[in-house]
Amino acid sequence: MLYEIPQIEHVNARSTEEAIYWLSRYGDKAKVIAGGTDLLSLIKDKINGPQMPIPEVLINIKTIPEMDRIDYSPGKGLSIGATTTLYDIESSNEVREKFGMLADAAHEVATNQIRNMGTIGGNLVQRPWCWYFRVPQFNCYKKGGPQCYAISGSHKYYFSMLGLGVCVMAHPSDTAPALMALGAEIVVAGESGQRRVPIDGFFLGPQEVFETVLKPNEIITEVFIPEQPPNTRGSFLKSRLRGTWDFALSSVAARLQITNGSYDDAKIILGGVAPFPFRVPLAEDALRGKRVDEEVISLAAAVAVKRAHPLAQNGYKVPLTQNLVKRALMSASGLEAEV
Amino acid sequence: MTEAKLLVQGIPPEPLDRPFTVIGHSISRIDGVEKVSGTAEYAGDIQLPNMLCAKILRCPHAHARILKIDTSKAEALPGVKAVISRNNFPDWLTYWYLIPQFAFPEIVSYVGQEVAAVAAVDIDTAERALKLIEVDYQELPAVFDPEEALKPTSQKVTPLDVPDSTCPRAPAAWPVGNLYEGKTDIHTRGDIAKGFQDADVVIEEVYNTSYQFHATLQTRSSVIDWDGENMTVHDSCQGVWQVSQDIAKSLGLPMEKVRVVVKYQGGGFGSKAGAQRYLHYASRLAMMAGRPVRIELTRPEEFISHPHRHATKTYLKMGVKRDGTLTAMEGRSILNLGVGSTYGNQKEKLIETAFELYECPNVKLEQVAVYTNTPLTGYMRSVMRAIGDFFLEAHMDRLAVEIGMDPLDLRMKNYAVFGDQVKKLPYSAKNLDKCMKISTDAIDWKHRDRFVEDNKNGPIKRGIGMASYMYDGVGMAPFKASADVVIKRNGTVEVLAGVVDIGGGQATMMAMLAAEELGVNVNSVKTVWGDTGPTQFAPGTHASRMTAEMGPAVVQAAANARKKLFELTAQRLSAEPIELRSALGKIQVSRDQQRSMSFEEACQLIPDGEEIRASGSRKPNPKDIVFHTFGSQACEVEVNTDTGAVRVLRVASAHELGKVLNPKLVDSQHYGGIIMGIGYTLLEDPEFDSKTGIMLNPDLHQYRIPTSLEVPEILPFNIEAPDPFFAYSAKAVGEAPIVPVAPSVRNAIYHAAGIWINSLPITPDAVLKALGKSK
Ligand code: SF4
Repeated sequence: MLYEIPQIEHVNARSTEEAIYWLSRYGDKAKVIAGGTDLLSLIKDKINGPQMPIPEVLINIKTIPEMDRIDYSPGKGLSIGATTTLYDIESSNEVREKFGMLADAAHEVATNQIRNMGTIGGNLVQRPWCWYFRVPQFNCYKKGGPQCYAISGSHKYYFSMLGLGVCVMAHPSDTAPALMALGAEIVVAGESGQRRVPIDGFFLGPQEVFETVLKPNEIITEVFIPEQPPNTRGSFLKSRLRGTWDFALSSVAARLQITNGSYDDAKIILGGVAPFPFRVPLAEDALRGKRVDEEVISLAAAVAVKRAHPLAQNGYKVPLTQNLVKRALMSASGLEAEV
Repeated sequence: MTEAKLLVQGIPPEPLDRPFTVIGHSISRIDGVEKVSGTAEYAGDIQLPNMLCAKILRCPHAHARILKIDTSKAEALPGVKAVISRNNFPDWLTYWYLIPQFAFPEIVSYVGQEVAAVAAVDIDTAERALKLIEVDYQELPAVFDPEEALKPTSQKVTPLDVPDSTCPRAPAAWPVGNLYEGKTDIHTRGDIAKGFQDADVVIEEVYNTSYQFHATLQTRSSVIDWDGENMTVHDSCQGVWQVSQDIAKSLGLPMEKVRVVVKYQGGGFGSKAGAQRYLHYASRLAMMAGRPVRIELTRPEEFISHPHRHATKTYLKMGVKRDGTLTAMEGRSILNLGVGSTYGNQKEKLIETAFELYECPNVKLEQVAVYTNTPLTGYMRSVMRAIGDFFLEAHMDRLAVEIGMDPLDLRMKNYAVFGDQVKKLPYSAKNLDKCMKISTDAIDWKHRDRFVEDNKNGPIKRGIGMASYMYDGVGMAPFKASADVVIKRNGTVEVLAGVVDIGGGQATMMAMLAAEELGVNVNSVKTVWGDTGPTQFAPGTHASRMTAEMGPAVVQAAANARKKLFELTAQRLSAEPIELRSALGKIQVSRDQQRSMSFEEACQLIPDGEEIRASGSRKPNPKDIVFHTFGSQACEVEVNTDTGAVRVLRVASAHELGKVLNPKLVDSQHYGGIIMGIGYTLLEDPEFDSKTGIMLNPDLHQYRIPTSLEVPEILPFNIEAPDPFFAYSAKAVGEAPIVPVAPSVRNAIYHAAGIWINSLPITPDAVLKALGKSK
C-alpha cells in the first residue's frame, strides 16, 4: 500500500454550526469532506495552486445527524440531505417514481464504488475534470494561475463547446442538469444562517475561479426539488467513452409538460458541453405550445446547439449533443425514436 | 506423435505412448485461491525490520541540461539515510534487460526522467527530502514527433540507451540524427515497380496507432534487502534471472550475490520484463544505507516511467489484380522509440507480419525507428505484431472492397504456404485456413449481409469484420531454459523452474507437464518458481515463450526423473525399467498390468535421506524450419451513428497452438487478449501536452482501460495440430489474441457504417468525423 496522503487533521462535525465554525476558524487551510471521492484524489495527486492550497484540516460532515436523508412530502417536494449518497438516491423508490430523471442521472455517475461513497452535495461542488487541472504541473487559471492551458492544448473530451470565458472546462456533474431541469433549490448554510439558492443561480461562469456561489465557509445542507405537476415527463441521457467511470462527453436533461398532445412547458439542460449546466431557452421555446411531433423535436434539437462554437478538437460534440437532445425529447415525449 | 523431435539438449525422451491423463484438463490455476482470497503476499506487502522508503526525484522538463544539483539540504534532513544523484554517481550505467542505460546523465530527455533518489525512514520524510533537492536546469528544445525528429534540422535527442555489441537487444551504434543506429531496416523481395505495373488496383493509405500502456493492477513495487554482502530483491518482475543479471551488472556484484524472488505477480503484460529503472536506484540506496529499502511507484509514475507500446505511423501501398492476386506491397513504418526501448527497434517485428502473412511476389517494407523526447517504450503484449497486423489487415479489407471481393476470399486466395517465400522454407505447422474458417463460421460470415436491411433505418448499424494473424510463441534466442524435477521419498514431486507465473498459469502448466510425464496426479506436484535461489537459469515470462521454451525442458526433466524411479522400481516388479509405465499415481508393467505399485510405494524405494533429481534443458529451434503460431478473429460490432459509439458484441477467436495443455487457462488468454485489444482499439487514448510533453492522463480514469461493460461475448476456439518439436506439441497463446482485435473491429465498422478509420483508438469523435457529421 502506498502512503500518498499527507498527514491531515480530521474533525468530525456534530452539527452544521460546528462545521461552519471550524471552516471559518481554519480559513483556506480547511476543506469539507463527505464522500471524499473528489477531494482525496486532488490531495493524493498533489493538485494545488494559489487558489487551492492542499488542505491541512478536513471537516467531516458525514457525522452531522439528519444530513443523510431523503424526505418526500406529497404536494411539497423532495428534500435530500447533502451527504446522501448517489447510490441511495438512485435506489430510492420515491426518487425513482416521482423524479425519475434524477435517479437516472445519479445512476450514471462514475462507478458503483464511487456512488456508494459520493454524495449529492459533493457531486454539485466537484472541481473540474479538465486534465490540465488534474495533473500538478499546470498552474492554470482555476488553481489561481494566469491562464488556461487547454484552449491552445488538448481538449477533446471533458471540455466545453460553448466557450464563454477564460476556462473551457465542461462542468462534470451528471446530477446538476437533472436538478436544474427539475427546478431544484440548493440550501446553503453559512455564518449568517441559511439561504436558499435556486439552482439556476448556483453555478458561476468560466470567468470565475470557483464553479459555484458557495463561499469557503459555507456548506450545502440540502437539495430541495419541488413537486412536479402531474403532466411532467423527463429524460436524462448521457454519452461517454466508456460504459462506466466516465464523465459526460455530452448529456441532456429534458423535462416536459404535455397536455392533450401539446407541450405546455419544456426545460432542456445540457451537461458536459459548457462550463456550467447549460440551459437552452430557445430550444425550449421551440417546443412550447407546439404539438408533440418528431419534426418539432428535430427542430428544437437543432436550435439547442445553434450557439455552439466548439474548440479545435471537439467539434464532434455539436452533432452528438443535437442527437442526444433529440433522443431525450423523443423519449420524454413518449415517441419511439428510430433505433 | 511418433518421432522424438522434442527440442531439448541431448537425447529427447520417447514420446508418451498412452493417452493423456492430466494434459487437456481444465485444472484451476494453483495460485487462484490465494489470489482471490487476498492472502497472496506481493512484493509490496513485505515488511522487513529497519526498512527504509525510497522516492525518486523526476525531471519536470522534456529536455534539459542539468547544470547543478545540490542535495545538501536533503542529506541534512533528519531521517534521510541515503541520497543519490549524478553528484555521487555521474557515470553509472544501469541495465534494462542487459541494455546499458545512463542512470544519471547530464542531459535529461523526457518529462519524468530520474534525477535523484532518496531513502528515508518514511515516505513523508522521503518526499520532503525530494523537495529540498535543488536542481539547476538549462532547458533545451524538445522534439516529440518522430517525423519531425527525422528532419536534419531537428533537435537531437540524447537517448538513454548506450550501444553495446555484446547485447543483442541494445543498439549496435549511436543514432545518426535521431535515427536508431543510423539506419532503417528494410525487407524486400521481387521487383516493386513491376509489381505495381501488374496491378489492376493500387491503394495507398496512412495508418496511425497510439501508445498503449499496460496499466497493471499491481503498481511496481520492490523490497531490497542488503546484508553487506548478499542482496535479496523481492520484486514484481516477469523474470527473476533477468533482474538478477541486470542488478548485478549495474551494482558491480557477482550474479550469485543477487537473489531475486517473486512470490506473486500482479500483472506485467511485458512491462516488467527486465530490471526496471526504479529498482536500480532503490538497490543502490539499500547498499548505501545498509538497510532494507522499499519502493513503490505511484500510478502516475507507472504511466510516465515504464516502457509502453510505441506509437507508429505507416505509409502503405498495395497493388492487386481484379482476381484478387496481390502483386506488390510497399510500406514505410515509423516507430516512435521515445528516449529508449527494450529490444531497440524491435528488430523488424513491425513489418514482419506484412512481409510473411500473404503470398506477394514483390515487397519492399521499411521500418524506421526514431528517438524523441517522450518516455521509454518496450515490450507489451504482442508489442509490434498488434500494430503490424492492424495496417496489413485493414489494407486487405480495403483492397477486397475495391475489387468487389469477399475479404475472407481475398485472404484465402493469397494464402502463404511457405515461411520464407523466396527460400521456400516450410512451417513446422500452419493451419491458418482452418482458423479463418472456424472463426468466420462462428459468426455466420456467409450471411454477413443479413444486417443490410436493418442498417438502412435508425442510428444503430451492425457489421462483421475479420482479421488473420501470425504470432511467435515458439521460443526465442538465446534458448537458455532449464528445469529440474525432484521426486521425494514421501511421494511428492517438485518442479523447479526459474521463471515467474505472471498470471497466465505458468506454474500450473508446468506442474501438469511434469505430472503427465511422471504419471502422477497433478496435486502431488508443486512448482517452485520465482526464485533464483533454488532454480537454474530460465527465461523471463514474456514474448509468450514459457510453454514453448520451458515445456520441453520440464518434460525432459520429468522423463529423466521417471527413468531413475523406474530403475529403482523395476526389480521389485520383476521387470525391466523400459517395461514400466505410469499413469495417475500408479506404476505398472506394460505386458502384465497386474504387476503394479503406487507411485508413493515406489518413492519409498528411494534411499533414506536422498531424493531423485533430474534436469532438462531446451535447445534452439532449427533454422531450416519456420516456427509460428497463427490465428484469426471475426467480430460483430454495433456503430451508433448518432453518438459515434462503437460496441463490440461478439468475437470468435481461433488460435492455432499445437496442443491445448489446459483449456481453461488457454481460454483465459483469449479473453484477456481480446479485452485488452478492445481497449487499444476503442478506448485507450494517452494524451501528452504538445508544448511541454507532459502526460495529461496518467491515471486509470482518463486513460480508459475496458471494464466488464465493454467485454463482448467471446467464443474461443483452440486449433490443435501436431508439432513434435514442442512439449506434447504445445506452443503459445499468451499474447496472440490481442493482435487481430483492432483490424477486425475496424473492418467491421466499415461493414456496419461504410467508414474506413485508419487511426487508433477509434473514439466517437473519429467516428462522427468519418461519417461527415463534424469537422
Ligand atoms: S479549461 Fe479550465 S481547468 Fe482546464 S486548464 Fe483551462 S482554466 Fe484550467
